[in-house]
Amino acid sequence: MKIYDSATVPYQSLDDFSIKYDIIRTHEEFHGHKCTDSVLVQQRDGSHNLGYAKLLLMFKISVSGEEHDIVFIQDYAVASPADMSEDDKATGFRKLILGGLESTYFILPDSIIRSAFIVNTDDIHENHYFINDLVDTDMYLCLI
Amino acid sequence: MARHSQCIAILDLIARDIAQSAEESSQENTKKVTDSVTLGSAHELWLSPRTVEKEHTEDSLFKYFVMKLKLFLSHTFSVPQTLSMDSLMVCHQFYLLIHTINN
Repeated sequence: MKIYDSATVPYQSLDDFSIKYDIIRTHEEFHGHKCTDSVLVQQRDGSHNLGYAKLLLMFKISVSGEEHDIVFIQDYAVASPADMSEDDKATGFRKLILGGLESTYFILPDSIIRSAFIVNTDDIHENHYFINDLVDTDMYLCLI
Repeated sequence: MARHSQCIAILDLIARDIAQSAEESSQENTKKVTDSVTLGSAHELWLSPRTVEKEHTEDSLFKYFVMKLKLFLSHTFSVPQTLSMDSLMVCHQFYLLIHTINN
């Protein structure tokens, strides 16, 4: 098993249809801090809805003489309206809840659409996050 | 609280931009971008993936995740599920990682 700290993800921007690139990382010591990026992924059930996931490990594994690139992720679920406070709603951001061990999956790197800017909502709920759709125009259009 | 979170989000974004710019400029001459997702294509940094020790392989949580990995390999690449742990060479960092998620 060979582990990678970062990878480059090309994607076609919905803004101007040009090809853009994101660098995604799962790095224990990125400029002195742990860096665990989040990504938009294609849903495993084949639906057109987007999935949200935290990157846990990017690795290459050699099996029977063949090498396979695999990504280990932890899914975020979209919070129900009942899980959102008035303050949460005021931000205008979509709220996500990070799942536990049962929400971890192995996927192919091809399933990654692009990086996503997902941050903790507050200090009380460690598994509650906001996804920021104002990072760039493509992200805004992806999340409409 | 919401405004505080927004401030943190913005500061985090700025910090991330600065870090990304710094890395991109330092690797500008060697940057190679491909048009398909290839892990480690441009910015690979190798860690030391120690193979798991014998006692780790007996850990039930670890066994569960290796089984999950075998299932994924089997469904995606038609790899036989009878593969041994040794042939997968699952590393120590993976072992540590799943225990971090569990806590």
